[in-house]
Amino acid sequence: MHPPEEELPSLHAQGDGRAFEALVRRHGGAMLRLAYRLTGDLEAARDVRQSALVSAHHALAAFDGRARLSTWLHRLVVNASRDEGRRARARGDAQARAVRDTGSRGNGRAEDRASPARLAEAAEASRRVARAVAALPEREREVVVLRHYGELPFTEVAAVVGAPVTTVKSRMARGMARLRTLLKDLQPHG
Amino acid sequence: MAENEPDDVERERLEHSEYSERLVAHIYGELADPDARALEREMALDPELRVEWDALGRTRAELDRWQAPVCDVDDEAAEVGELAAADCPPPAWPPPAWPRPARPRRARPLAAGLAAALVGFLSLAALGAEVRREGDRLSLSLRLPWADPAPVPTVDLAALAGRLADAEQVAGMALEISDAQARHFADWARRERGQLQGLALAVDRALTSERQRTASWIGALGRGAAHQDLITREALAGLASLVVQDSEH
Repeated sequence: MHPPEEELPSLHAQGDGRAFEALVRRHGGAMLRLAYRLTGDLEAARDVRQSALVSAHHALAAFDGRARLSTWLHRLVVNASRDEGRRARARGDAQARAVRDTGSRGNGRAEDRASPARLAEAAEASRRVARAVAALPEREREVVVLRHYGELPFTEVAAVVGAPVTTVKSRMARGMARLRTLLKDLQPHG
Repeated sequence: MAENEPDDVERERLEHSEYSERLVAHIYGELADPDARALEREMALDPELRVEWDALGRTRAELDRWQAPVCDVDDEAAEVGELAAADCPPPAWPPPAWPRPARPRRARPLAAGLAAALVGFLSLAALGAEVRREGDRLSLSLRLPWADPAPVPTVDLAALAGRLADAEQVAGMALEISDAQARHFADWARRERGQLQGLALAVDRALTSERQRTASWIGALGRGAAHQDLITREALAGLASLVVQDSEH
């Protein structure tokens, strides 16, 4: 029996360990996926999610329910990702890590697996897009990832990143324009 | 005229920015119907706008080509501590060249041998191997094709687990496999429950007759199967303990 989502904060505040476990079960996968798209690195994504979960554990009892729980968790992931980005920049490896495990394994369909050439092409395309997204300025990357990969409406993206909707749309437009150039620059023969 | 130039440039910049935002909203289906229709009409009349729209569509399509190793997670089924184990796409079967086991010196030749045996044994799964789960007890039955109809050897894995004082600790010792290996297997096991029976069969065969065992294979089975709740952790810890004991002798 899983506790209803709206009761998780109060149950957590009462010390019911099942509440946080339920939160992780329901949202842990989405948090990891978002963290991966933001960081471009699976190991970093795990750290980011872990950090976000630690924050959630500390703050869940005080969650006021004004936003959806998923929106709040997304925001924690974004914040943790920004922290990770700052640490990475301090280490000087923000670009160097560029999606080292992206596309090498792929999500290929069965028919794709039969063709090594197609697999290699898909993996290369995947790496190229990942590099382009990783090269976006942080604020643009956030809205592109949340809107495109997270499939959040702009209003919710705005709630997650803490900016007006118009600003979010503007960042999205700039991000998409920049991606267009980056993807062209990253063409293997271009 | 000269005074108007900055204004014109600024107006053009603002208009372009506004159009870009509307195009982005429209391509993600977030432009209200009247605005969307108006934008469509403008695009029909303005080739440059149409070009920009098409380019935006191509960029959006390109974004879909990023294949993250993070695949769908069955959040409800996932163990809290095992979420990461299901985050990668499945390997093709037979297993690809997995990362080197944790104990390469001992395990590599054994793993290669077991892998070869495994492929053969998998075909036996359809011939009568059964993994049964009743509460916390799991039993694996093997109906050997050359011994049909009887006898039917049965291995009670849960009973094996009873030998352990601290099953989890032993499982931890035995599960010294790379995360990537565990994730590959976990996802594969999630999708291919039928083949999991085959793998369980092969492990059973390895344990009972060929005496070939490696921590990596059993560990992979453990992580993958426990994640899917197909086999209890305790039962797998029992298997793992045999591996540990065997490797120490």
